[in-house]
Amino acid sequence: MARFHKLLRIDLGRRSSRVEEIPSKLEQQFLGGKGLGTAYLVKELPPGIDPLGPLNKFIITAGPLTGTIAPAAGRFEIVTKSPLTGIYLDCNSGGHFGPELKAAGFDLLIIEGVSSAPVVLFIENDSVRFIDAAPIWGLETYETERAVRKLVGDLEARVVCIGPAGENLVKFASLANDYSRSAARGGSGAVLGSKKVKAIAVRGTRDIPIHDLKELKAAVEAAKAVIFANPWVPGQRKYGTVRNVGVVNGNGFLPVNNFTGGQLPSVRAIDEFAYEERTKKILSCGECPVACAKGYKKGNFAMEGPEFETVGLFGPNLGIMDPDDIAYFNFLCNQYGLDTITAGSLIGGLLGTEHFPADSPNKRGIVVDLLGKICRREGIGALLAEGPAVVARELGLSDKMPQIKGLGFPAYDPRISYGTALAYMTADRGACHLRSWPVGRELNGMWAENDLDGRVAFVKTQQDDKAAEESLTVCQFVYGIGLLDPVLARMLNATTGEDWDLARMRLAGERCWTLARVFSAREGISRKDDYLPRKFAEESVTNGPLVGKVISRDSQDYLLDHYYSLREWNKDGIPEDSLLARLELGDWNR
Amino acid sequence: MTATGKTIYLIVHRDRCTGCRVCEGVCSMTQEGVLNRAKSRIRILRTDVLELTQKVCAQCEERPCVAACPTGAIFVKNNQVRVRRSACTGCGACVAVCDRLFLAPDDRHAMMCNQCGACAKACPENALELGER
Repeated sequence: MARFHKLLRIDLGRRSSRVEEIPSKLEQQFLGGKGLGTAYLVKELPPGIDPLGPLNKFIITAGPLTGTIAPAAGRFEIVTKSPLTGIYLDCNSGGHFGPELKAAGFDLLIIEGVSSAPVVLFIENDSVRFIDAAPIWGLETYETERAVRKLVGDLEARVVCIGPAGENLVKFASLANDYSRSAARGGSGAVLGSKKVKAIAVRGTRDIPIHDLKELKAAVEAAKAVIFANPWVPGQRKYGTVRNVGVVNGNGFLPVNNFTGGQLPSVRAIDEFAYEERTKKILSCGECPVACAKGYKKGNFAMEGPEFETVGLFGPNLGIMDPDDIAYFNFLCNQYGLDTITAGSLIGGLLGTEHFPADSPNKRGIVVDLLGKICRREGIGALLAEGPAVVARELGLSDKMPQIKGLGFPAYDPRISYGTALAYMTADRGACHLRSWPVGRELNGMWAENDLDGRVAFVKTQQDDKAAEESLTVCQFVYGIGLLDPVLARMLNATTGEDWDLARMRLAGERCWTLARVFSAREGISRKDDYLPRKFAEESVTNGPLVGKVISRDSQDYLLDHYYSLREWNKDGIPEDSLLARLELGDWNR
Repeated sequence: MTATGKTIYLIVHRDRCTGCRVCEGVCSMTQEGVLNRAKSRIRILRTDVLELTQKVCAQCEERPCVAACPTGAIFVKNNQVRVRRSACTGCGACVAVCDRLFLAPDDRHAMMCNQCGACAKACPENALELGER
């Protein structure tokens, strides 16, 4: 249990909805969350459809642990076809929307078609209302959430919404929830914008079915012990992700001036202590004992964050060291509904061009101006709104624009390690740091310098485990990125009465990862798309410990060969029939 | 009634609350025997970007709920306001005058904190405690 075995399908064109049973075979194959969402996406989306057209579907899922008392399991997943990359996309967000969707009685929500006019969807248990959103179309995200709560007349409703960037189909538009949390990458906000859905509000009042509550309570206590034994957790609780700034700079893989430098003499101005001084409120996601969200507030500018990625990419990456400027860019992205990571790495990619002179004394003004233009698709913003791959092609910046498959780099220079490079190269949605995180182990010397195979095997396994985590759906910051602990299986079994262990969970993760590749391969993705931009293969950073280090094309080829072989993909990076057969995916539409 | 005739109530340290809503789940399991945050007698509302509002009966001295209840289901005993479920008709007169008690979403019985303390024990931030006045 904690599964309702139900999905809600909403047809925007017909303004209708229906409830469907989720076959238990799919639950057992894919676990839930990301896995189940991926299964439905692959089953239901024909190849080649326009991500911003009526045939794309927007899938939101709550995992089997979502809404239970499992610690830090309140996240939700979005799965769709990305307008930014044209391939598989999943986004994950915390807050409280996921538990509310579960309490409404659904494990999965599929939104399809296009609405003829702006609409707010209000899901209240089985009931779906289509509310006219014309009066709030154009509002920024915080105002939208406030307005939607009034529209639906329920303060306890939870809201996901888009800002003007999503309405304007900016291809890296994000989805906001609980005001300033985001499911941001890959343009999920643009997909909703294309469907004319301004917001989805949900209110659930059902009992959450738990198979064995007594055992779940015991498992939750064990899980808390696991969480607080995680050496990463105390720092996360105290400072949030921003405490990475000093560590990453110390090791020389902080993006400085569009990934040209790797280190600054000091990052004191923008580190965790700088933001700690500015923290006005500490917040947490559902059932989380870690509470890593640090609420920044200055005047009218408030948000949870900024998080490390945003600080790195809007800070040193743009040559900006004012913590309030960085927070302001973050605030603007929140208001517009824009992914801060892609926005930061894209604008960084313009450094040194006429659009962003590297020596400008008014960098803050330039960034603010560019973000506004992107949001409105005005002037140069119309091009920038298409995302880093298109910008790179149009402006001749392909060699150095930090992106893979169209998704902008996060704030770690991949030249730090072969593992990090491979993690970016092979992440399912494009350059992403959240599918595997080998760098800590690499820096700690887990593998000999020339042991690439060990790194490849680790990345592969961690990707599978992470897919399982996001199928559950639990928070990586609390349990560790791609670190499946047996306590997760214990909580899952207590909750559902099913029979999971780590091997089965990992297999479900592998199934999900494989299907995501099947989906993207149908869209034309293959080996050619799995490489770093040329700069990272041929030029090293200009300062710090990484000077002289590149991830050469030869090493990338070695990594890919070995990775594909471990994954049972062919030389071109396409899953083999034998793999699909082993994973019982043989009859899935390729 | 305490020996001194005081009233016990749940103190909310608002500055410590992070909005994790562990209290809501624990409350519903303890008081209603099911996990359902919509059956909790304490509610943590996200009322703005960095703003939380905690709603739980404070055992106030005005007791508008007692006055509003047409059936006597909400009454005072030993200085504590209590709900007698068998007498509650779910009319909603109480929630019309106070937003610190709630109607169950299914059978609409009135639900009010009875100071059991389960939430205070479970709160990971020590934001809740029982006090008296």
